[in-house]
Amino acid sequence: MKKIIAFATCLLMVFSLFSCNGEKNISVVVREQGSGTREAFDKVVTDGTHFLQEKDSAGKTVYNTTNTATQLTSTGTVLSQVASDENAIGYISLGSVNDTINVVNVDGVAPSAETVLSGAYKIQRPFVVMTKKGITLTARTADFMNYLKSNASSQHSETAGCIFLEDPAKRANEGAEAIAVTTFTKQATLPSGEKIVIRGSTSMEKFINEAAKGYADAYGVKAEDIFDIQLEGSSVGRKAVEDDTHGNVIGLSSAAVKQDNIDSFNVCLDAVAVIVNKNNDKITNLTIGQLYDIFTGKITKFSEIG
Amino acid sequence: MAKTINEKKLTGQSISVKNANLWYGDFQAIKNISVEIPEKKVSAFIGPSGCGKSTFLKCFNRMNDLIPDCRVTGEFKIGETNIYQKIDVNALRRNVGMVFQKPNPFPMSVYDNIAYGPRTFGIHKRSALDQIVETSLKQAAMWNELKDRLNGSALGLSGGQQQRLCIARALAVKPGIILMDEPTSALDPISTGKIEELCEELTKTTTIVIVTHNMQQATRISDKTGFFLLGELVEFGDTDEIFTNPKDVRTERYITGRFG
Amino acid sequence: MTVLNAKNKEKAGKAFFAAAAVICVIAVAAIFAFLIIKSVPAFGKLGVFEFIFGDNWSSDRLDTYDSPLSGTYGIFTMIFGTFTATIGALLIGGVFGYFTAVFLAFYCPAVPKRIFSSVINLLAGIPSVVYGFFGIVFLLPVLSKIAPNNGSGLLATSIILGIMILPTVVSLSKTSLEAVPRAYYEASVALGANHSETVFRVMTPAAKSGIIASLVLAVGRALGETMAVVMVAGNSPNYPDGLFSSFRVLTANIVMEMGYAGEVQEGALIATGVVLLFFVLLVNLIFGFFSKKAVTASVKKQEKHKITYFNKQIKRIKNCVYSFTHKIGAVKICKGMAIGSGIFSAVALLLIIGFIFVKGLPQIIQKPSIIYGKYEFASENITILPSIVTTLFAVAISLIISIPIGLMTAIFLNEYTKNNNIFIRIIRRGIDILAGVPSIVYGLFGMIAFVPIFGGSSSILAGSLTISIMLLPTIVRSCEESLKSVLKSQREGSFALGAGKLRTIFRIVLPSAMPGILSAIILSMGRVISESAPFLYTMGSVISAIPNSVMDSGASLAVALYRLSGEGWYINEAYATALVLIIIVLALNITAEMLAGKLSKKLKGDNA
Repeated sequence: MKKIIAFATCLLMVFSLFSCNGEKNISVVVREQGSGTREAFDKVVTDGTHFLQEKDSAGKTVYNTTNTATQLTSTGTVLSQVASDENAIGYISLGSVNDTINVVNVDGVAPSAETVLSGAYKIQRPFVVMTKKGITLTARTADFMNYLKSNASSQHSETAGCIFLEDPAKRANEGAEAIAVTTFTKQATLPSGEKIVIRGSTSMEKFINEAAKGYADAYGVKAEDIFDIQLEGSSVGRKAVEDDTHGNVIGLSSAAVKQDNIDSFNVCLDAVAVIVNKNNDKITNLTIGQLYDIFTGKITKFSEIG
Repeated sequence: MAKTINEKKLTGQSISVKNANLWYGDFQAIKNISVEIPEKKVSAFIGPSGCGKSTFLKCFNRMNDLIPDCRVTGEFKIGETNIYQKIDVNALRRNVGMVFQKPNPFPMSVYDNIAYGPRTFGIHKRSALDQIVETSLKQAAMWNELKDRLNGSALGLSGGQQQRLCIARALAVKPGIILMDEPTSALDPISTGKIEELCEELTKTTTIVIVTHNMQQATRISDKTGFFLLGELVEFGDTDEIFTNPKDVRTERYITGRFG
Repeated sequence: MTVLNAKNKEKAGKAFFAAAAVICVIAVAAIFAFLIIKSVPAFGKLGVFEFIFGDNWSSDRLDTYDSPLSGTYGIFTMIFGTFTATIGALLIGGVFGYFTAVFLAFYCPAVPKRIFSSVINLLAGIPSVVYGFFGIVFLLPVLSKIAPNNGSGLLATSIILGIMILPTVVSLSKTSLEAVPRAYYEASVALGANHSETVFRVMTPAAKSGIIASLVLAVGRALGETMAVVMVAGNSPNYPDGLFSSFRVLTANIVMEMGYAGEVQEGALIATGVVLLFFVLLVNLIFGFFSKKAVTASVKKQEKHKITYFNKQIKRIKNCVYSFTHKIGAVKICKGMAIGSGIFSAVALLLIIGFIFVKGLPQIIQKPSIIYGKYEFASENITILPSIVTTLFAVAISLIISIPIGLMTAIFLNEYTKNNNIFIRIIRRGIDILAGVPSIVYGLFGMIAFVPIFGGSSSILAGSLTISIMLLPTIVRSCEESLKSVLKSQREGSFALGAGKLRTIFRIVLPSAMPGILSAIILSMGRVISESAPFLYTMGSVISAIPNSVMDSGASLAVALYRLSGEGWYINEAYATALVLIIIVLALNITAEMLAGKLSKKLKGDNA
């Protein structure tokens, strides 16, 4: 019995050795289902008829992503995975791009503030700030919301790598009343109220940390003393806002929010950047169609891309 | 507090048993035994292994209560008290001390071992405890050996010393009766001799019931001897009588070594 | 009057101990009740059959119970993946573990054996995130040399899981091998069989049921492992159809998607937990069966049938001595395997610990501020001080809760239960069940039971409560073991002096059992420090400021390591954190061992 097992293992090992001669396959790295980044990516990438994530005729959600993809649960993991694997391709929030990887142009367009605002760069999504509809916010929370809605956010957006939205119409949900960019005026003293609870998307971590720090600095206090920030996911943020009873909860979502019981505004736009390994200098531009083929597993080697 | 317990304390020194039966589950270990054990004497129980001697002994301080599925019927009287009525078992055990086959000193100092019993019954004054420890050790003829190492661990003593310490520990609560369950079976002849001397000494104040495998030991120290076989008490009488002129043929065969 | 009081005191004592035991049972019941209640709507909506046997998992977080489903929820690929990974782990960890145990029991010289054995026990204490981290930074790069991808997938998962179950297999198998009577060995050698023949033809078969039990227990551990697997499996919800194909296990499904889960999705994830729980319980039942068999085999059968068994063995030896020409080959191979496995295990151990030390130590020396640095909001200067404080909070709270309950339950079970009535059996079964529940399921339970109580967001208190329940079974078991080790004659001695039960327990039994109890406490501390899966959704996963109160949330050290190794740009900080974790856990383990040794020596009177 033991011998059989040992033999089988050896056989498997040898087999796997043979299976990998020549150029390696592309390792497709994606986020988990339900991630805002993935949703933004999957709903844009198409071969003309199908999207990576779509609804079939029966209204069922279908993911067309290849089975061989590695699924990871955070931007950081995707980044380090792509940085360490020469054959990897993945996507992360533009704000999280650093120099350990290369960013690929999509349809000839590099992701930047201009291309995102103009819509030339297609893989993008809004960052949304939410509060519960109809609830009276504590003075401090209301003051911070004013801060977020004001042009002060502009600078924080920039540091965080997302693109500040100046167009009042685009700041609101489609069809809703426009939300103007205001100027924040500091109150005489820090408004009272308990800690401001912030829940929601991990993609917005950098932005909200910057904003919270900026706000706290304005009043000369420590951010950790007036904020309770726990980012675990957009849906957690939505739930926390719905459950708010004190008027001190702010939710963050990295995908558009249209819910009757939630007030929301889009604070900035984020591009989802397609990234490859630093040493991968052959791939600098991909079309949406090629992205679809790579992420569905139709193209398995980079050499197949002309 | 100590006073209240004293009032409750069972003080009898003689044991009277009528029609005792004991079962472990379905197995009957004691079969209809009646016996009168006199006070301030050494009574010995002899007999082959597994014949119920130790079990019978443990009935006197109700140690059998600790064994699941153990059932006792019949009348056990210590002095005038029926001990299988609703009584305070702990008070009973205070009056009926016990020394076990293997020495079982507690993992604490010599002093604390002896003080354990008195402390249990509410004596916490240092001077009183000192007094008790000294008397008990003197009674057990160990004072000179141990007076300089009262604070040393009891586990560091030799086997024979440990067993005598256990006797001293039992004496510390001033029991009327001491039960000894093969107390010397794990000891060398010299230690055995010391314990036997001690037994005789103790009969001045205490009743002693001893279970032994060693017939010579029974003849040496006991006033009365009982012979057990298969859960029955075959014969109980004066030691000289039993060993020189047994009434029952089974006793005779056992003591002459033809069986068992 | 006083006598009455004493009696009442005894009764009250017993009632307290029994109450503690009942709490354990309630904990089990609550875990089942909460998980089932929370998953019933999902099972109803999705269909039990479709859920378990469907092999398409396309979740949609917008799904609600009131509207038609747009996602598809089938976990069969993950059930399959879980079992494949477990079998893989068993092939690696089981085989090497078995031979390592044989090596330790019969081939290893005394001194290295002692060191090796205690190191193997230490290995069991290493946090699973550290294994996963090791997988990411060491194993995957190595495997990617031969893999068509980055090395993640079935093979990597099996290797990591295999190493993780190694300690379980080795220490339990070793124990049962050493329990085989020496007489067998002597009889066999006296008949002319050599050492290796005796070992593999007589000793190992005699320890068979113990070894199988250790393997079954290892399977339970592999089934329930979460964090290490998530870090190396690839996690695509499909069948593992190759050594390097991305696949997902049940535990990973929960951790992967819970953060973003919507209504139905959350239900489906809890249902995943229920399925996982079911499988682990099944394995435990099998384990119970084998270990019972092992016990009866060693206690009763060998007493009763010693002669026949012995004769059979002798016949076997004779046969084997007469016809050993072709068999000697197998024995030689086995001997080689044993020595080889021993070396392999030693190397694997040194590799993991050594690698973390080599990579982590320079980080800490260069930038010691990571350990004590002040937390700065949104700063690039990572400090794990808040995590250390959070972890300390969690350790303190969970021990305060679980030690008294666990110890009292153990006292109740060991001191007050003369016979095995139904109540006692329920308690024991309950504790056995608790012991088998995978840590991620505790996490789920904490998330749906404790988190809502404390205002809906994770907090140190919720996390600590969760882990307290998780600690209970180990504490009860190890305390019971140490209570059992107190000689019966000690109790008899006390009772015979007229001491009551409470006095006997507190003055005689507990002091004697103290070394064992203390090491149980220290090992529990180690467990709290090294666990991560139960904390993710109960205590929080964000490295933030030093917590001010138990209602704050924060990442424990192990969770911080998980986060840091995920965030690609803090890999150096991750090395440092891993090192800190390993050092703490190792220190605790060594303390526990020394403490147990020293105190038991003292109790034996060596210093008298």
